[in-house]
Amino acid sequence: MKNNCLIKKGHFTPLAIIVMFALPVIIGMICMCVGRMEVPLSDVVESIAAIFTGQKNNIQNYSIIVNLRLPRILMAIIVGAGLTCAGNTFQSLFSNPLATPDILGVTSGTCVGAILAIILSCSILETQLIALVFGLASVAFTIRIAGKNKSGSMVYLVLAGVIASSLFNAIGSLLKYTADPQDKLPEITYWLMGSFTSATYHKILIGSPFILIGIAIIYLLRWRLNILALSEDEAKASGIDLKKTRMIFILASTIITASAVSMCGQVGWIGLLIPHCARMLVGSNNRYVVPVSISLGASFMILIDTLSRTLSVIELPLSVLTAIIGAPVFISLLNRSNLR
Amino acid sequence: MILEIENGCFGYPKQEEILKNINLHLEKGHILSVLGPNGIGKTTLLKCMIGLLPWTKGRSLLNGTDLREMKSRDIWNTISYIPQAHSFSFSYTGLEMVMLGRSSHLGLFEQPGAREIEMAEAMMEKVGITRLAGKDCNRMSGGELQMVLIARALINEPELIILDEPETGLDFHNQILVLNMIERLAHEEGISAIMNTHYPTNAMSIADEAFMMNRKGERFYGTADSILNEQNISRSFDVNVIVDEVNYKDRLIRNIIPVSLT
Repeated sequence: MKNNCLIKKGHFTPLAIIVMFALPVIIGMICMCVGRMEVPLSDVVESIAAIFTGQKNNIQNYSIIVNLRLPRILMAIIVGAGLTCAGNTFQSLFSNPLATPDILGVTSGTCVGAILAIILSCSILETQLIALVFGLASVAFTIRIAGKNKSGSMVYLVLAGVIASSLFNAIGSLLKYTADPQDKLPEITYWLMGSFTSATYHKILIGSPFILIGIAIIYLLRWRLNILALSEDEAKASGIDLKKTRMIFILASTIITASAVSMCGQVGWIGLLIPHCARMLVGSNNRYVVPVSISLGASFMILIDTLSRTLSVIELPLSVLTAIIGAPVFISLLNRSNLR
Repeated sequence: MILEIENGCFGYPKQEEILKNINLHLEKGHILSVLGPNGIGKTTLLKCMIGLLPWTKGRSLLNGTDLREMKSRDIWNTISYIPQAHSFSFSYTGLEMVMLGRSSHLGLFEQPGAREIEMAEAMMEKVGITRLAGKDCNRMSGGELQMVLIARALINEPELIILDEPETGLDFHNQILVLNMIERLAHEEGISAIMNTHYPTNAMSIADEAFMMNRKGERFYGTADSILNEQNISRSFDVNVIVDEVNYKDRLIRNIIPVSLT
């Protein structure tokens, strides 16, 4: 056990727990202050308190904070935590540190649904629902292809994911090709690059239950991820029901990914970057990696979203920012952990 | 009798059968050593014995019950399996790795707690590797890792340990360390062991029984002393060997030395 200021005797220290909870909350509060309209921190706190007390002293600030920025930040927290959790789960599941949440083709499937919905001029909420259904259907498709193989090897599942992914990408491209280049195509392209612009409480209400359930399942079973990351025989010989446990994790993570992508489009990198950051802090034991990466993922996503709406006059797409910021951060972290 | 193999046959799909009519039995507290040339199916045999691979014919009985009729949890409460040395994609510390051995005793949502940490620490002390508790498994030497894996196997409180080439790649000191550990567990604590090995001398020094296979389809099975003689080893590995007997501190040590190809 790596005993440090975060972990002692197989448990997080109280300090670690406070920091993990406080980090996204504090970052969220600060990020609610910035934007085109600067709102002082005291007004942010007041506005949030007003949701419960009903005392609206400054209607304009209340409206900016509660109707515009709070839903974005809540969505960022849920999506960030979810994608990180899903990424980490797939990395353990496939014993592959480079696995990402879209390894089974969920993202491409969800995107096909979204493109279709946009072409059919559906509303934002309808788009989200159609995308979600397509995402879940694509996983069912992937598992079905892989299921033909009796030995239940994970290699087949990854292969099935690659097949499904390229198939859905092709369908997506075909749909884009037929889309009206004047208005539909830019809309599709922008949607695909990911954004929290259209965040509303309704959207959160539709997408978040799946993500929260997925996170809860992974959180509760997180120690088992350590066993799944061992070799196939060792995992079998550990006495756990290997097939069932794997399937639970696959379902939980794909539901998270499909819901997240259907809410805000593609957000790359975070599912790969944050679990690695967490491992650099607390080692590879998923018992610690999962909670730490949930907290870091949520915080990182809030920061990225805030940058996306403040860096320039137009909103920058999320996946562009996660990569531009994530890559150098990751490289520097890798260099530092190599030196140790 | 802890483990019994009745008429076990196995072949990988669409390939020739590699294991034919294997019959073995292992008493409590005994060590069985499996020998044979590379690629003859020693690891496959170990995996079939304990149900990691399915026999195409025949069966394994664990304490008299057919493995296929047992719950996986009950099987792996009784057997610990140590695969051939390999590296891990994620690096756990020694203590974390040892604790993974408790999984068959923990419920679905249970995680190892203070009790498991204590058990793991006690086990590491017993095996003599307390210093490895905080060390990264991927940075351990072969000998260190093997001892960690043995501790992981023991914390399961098994009746039978399966070891796949436990001493391969270890230096003299670590070989003796690992072999002594296996012998002590079997002969003093009654934990039976089945191990693959490439070294007849090692098999001779600790195993009670030996099972040797060769490419001619012959099987030699019996007490280690009676099986591991010049003639059988020579036939199995296609080498000329000499068996040298040395007296050391009132102990007869039989050393098997390969000298040339036949």
